[in-house]
Amino acid sequence: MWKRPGRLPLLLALLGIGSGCALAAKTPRGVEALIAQIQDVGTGGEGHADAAEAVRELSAKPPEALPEILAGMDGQTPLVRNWLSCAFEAAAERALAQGNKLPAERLESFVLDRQHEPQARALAYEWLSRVDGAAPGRLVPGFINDPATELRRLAVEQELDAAEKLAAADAEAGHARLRQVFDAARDPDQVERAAKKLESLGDKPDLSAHYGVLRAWRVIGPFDNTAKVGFDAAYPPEASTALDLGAEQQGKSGKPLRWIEHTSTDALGQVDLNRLIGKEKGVVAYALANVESPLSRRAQVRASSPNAVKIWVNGRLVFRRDEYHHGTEIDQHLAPVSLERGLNQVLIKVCQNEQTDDWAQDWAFQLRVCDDTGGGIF
Amino acid sequence: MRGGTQVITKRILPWSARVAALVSAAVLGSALAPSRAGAVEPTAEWPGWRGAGGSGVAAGTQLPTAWSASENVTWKIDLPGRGVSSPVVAAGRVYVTCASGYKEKRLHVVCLDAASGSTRWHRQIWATGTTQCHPKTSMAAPTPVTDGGIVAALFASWDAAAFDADGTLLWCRSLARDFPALSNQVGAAASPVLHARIFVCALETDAEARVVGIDGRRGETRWSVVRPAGINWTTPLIFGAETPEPLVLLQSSRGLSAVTLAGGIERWSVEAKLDPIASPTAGAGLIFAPGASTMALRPKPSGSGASSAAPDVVWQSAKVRASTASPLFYEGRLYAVGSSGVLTCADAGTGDVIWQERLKGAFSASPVAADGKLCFINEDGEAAIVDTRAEPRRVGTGAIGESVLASPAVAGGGLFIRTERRIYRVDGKGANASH
Repeated sequence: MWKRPGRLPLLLALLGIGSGCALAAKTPRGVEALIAQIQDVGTGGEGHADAAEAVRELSAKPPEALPEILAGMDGQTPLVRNWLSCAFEAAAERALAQGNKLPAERLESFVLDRQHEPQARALAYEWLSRVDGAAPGRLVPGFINDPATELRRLAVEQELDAAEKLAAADAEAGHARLRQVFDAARDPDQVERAAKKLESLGDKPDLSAHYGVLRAWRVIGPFDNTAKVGFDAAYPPEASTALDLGAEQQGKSGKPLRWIEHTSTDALGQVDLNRLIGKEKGVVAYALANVESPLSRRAQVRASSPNAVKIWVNGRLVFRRDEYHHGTEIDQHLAPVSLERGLNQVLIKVCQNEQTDDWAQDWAFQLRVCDDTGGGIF
Repeated sequence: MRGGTQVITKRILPWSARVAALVSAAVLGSALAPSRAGAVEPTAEWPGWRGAGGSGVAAGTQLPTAWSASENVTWKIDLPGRGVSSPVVAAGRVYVTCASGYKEKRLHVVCLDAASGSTRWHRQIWATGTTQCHPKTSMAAPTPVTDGGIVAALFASWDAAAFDADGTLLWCRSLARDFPALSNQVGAAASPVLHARIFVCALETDAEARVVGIDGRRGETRWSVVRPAGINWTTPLIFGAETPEPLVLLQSSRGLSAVTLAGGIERWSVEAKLDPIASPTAGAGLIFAPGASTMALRPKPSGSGASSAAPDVVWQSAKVRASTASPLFYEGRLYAVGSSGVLTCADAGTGDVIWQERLKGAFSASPVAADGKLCFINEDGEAAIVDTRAEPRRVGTGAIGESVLASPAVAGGGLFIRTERRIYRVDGKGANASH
């Protein structure tokens, strides 16, 4: 791969020879090579200088290269996608500033091809919409079940507006349409909006099923978290390769502990550990749930808690956050996971610190298993 | 600091209020000359949060004294997202960040023409770290920074990116990927600083706390310093910019430290209970560190540049109290607005209170100064213009009818006010809205 001019053109360039200057000019690299250069960026700034040069060259490519730049995001890390996003926008912006047309048809094909990276498709849609004012009207309704959540959100919003309007005129027809949009909605704000409207029409949408909330747990605690020692301490529930759910464990201050069964009655599966175990400070609890999957598949665990948490799936640590009482909201934590065919074990460790402030007393968690869009899968 | 603003409620910051007693050495008995020795000199540009060197002072420019939503507004534009970061201005360009989309997953850097407000370029990246934060703040809370040649932005999701003045990406970092334990779910807001090509980011949270020096042009990590664990919003301050060894001052609730800009090597450290939100400032060779009591510190001459002696405490005063807004050093005086809205003017050399006056409202935006005047904008977007050289002190007001949390920018005769979703340029009398 080209990195710097060879010696001869460099020498000629230094000598100021006209033809030599031409020879010293960098050999233009193809779009594919430039994208490959950017895909090499690593952590800590590794490869950034070379990638920056590639971005500069990509930014100067003609608009025909735009779909190829977008396709370079496929299967790449979020960091690489961000690099390519900036290269794409610089090239698109330059093309328009120079009075060139964007390849609208190819951008539209890119948007409609669900095999491409959601971020790239969303970007393609935005730039297509800039040059084709009719694109939103033509494309957005088709995004209603799109795997790209940003595109799907556009369709859901539009459909929610329409369904609510319809419900005001015709409750039955509006209800049916709201049901469809509720099923399609993924972002919790839109899910809640659809659910509330359905409830106002006498329906009872099942939020737990929609989100894939886990409500049935086995819980054990408290273990010790004095001076926050518990986050890194491997107590038996996480240390054992095969959990013995009938065995007695030794908890904080030698207290004998046993797993207790608990099913949350909350629609979002909130488990209040203060109520279940007792209001204690400087403590750790574990909760275990089984998820049966009919096939091996990719999924996401999404959880929320005001406390420090660790999450394991089938014994593999998939998430950790050592932070206390800085707010909580649904889908606060997200971890991609692999589910095996059959039973899968989800274990969450929830640590409570020793703050005495009245706003630092909650000890709770909520967890769901969903697909990449946020839809419940079981 | 924080970045463009301070929006974190004190409720979540459980420090007791008193600063630990420190040995006080030479206390100055008279007012200081209005020098900014030690601090970066103010310029006509506004390159970062609180301007050149984080001073809050603009040189060679006027400060508008009257405006409304329709009066003296040269232009206003809608931004493609929300945010609380401040605009920065250099070489006729205004740079501003914002965030959009569900949970603010999209992060924007926007470059505007300073004269017309028209968009010169606009880039987007997607958040790679968590975007949970208090609803009052935003992923676009840290203020970007520019040296005229590049603009570098940090977001609360721990994403950072730098562009040249024409919007070509120079580098993009996922600091959340580099340091996975980083987490501030209240919302990080410390602004980065850029000096001598080093882009300094304070990444200080409960589980991971460090300050990182990044090559501003190439994006590579030059140094990384582990800091005491704890959530912190203060913005680093460059001190001794004109010396062979500029220092980066780092304030947290546990004290103030100085590390070298070039290598991140600690030169000195002072333990004290300081504010984790309001940021330090400097002037006349002193460092002013806000806390329940504001401290004035005089660093010892560094000589070879390897001094590790802690600075002398010149004064400390509970009467000079900043809150969310950071204190301002201007022409030998220190100005601080407290949580109750009381503005205190103190002799910067002695800490003696010269006058106090109650301002209306609560303040997230830090004050700015130019042309002998100070500008305080409260959270309702109402500004008080205070003359520092003559009576009566209150010489102007302004209000644009929107909440303002971001510290304003002053450059080229214009005052750049950022609201949640807009940016306004306000000039002297006669300017009219053009957008």
